[in-house]
Amino acid sequence: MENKDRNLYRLDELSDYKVASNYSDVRGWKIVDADNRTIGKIDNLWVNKDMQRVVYLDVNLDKGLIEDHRNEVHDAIANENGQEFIYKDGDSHIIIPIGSVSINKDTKIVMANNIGYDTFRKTSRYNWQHNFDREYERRVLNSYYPTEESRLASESNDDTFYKRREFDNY
Amino acid sequence: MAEIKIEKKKPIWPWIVAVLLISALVYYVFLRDDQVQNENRMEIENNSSVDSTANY
Repeated sequence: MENKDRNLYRLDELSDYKVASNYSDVRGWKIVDADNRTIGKIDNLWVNKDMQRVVYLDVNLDKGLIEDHRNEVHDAIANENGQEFIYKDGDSHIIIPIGSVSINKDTKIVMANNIGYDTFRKTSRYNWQHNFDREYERRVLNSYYPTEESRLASESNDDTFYKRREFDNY
Repeated sequence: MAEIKIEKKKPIWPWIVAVLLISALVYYVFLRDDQVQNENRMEIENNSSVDSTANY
């Protein structure tokens, strides 16, 4: 619901829209971190209809990365007897701001330049069958860019929220 | 850093209308003309056969 207010849609939902010519439709492409470690596969594109552009890549995380995270959580629970952090089945997707990646058209590989494997492993995931809210966006961006936290908290509408370098050209 | 823009798909119905119009035009100009010529030829043949009997 809130996504509609924010004018954020999966490109698949918009049957009358497509990726503009001269831009790559990266759906189905692999995404890696700066050290070439596989993060996952781009499943969809989150677009802002007002801005007429993609703002997030919707990434289906690699099973290896999810498994690594699961092992890490289990280790933490065993060591500290802490509260278990449980993901449900289907919570295997994350969003990545479009300005945080570079696209190699020749190899059809997308690279997250400044976000490492460990950060992706710890980043909060969502279920691809559901939408996410602005709070989830903030949480993810805080995970990728912890130093920007105070700035993120104050911006709520689309005009200011997406006008920053993480979403390119700002 | 990457950027991907989106655009509205161009509607397909103007192409469908254009194809239908061209098809209708082709039918009118060529096929209909052939039909008229065939009808005229048949009329001429009919007339000529009447004339030939008249000589006898």
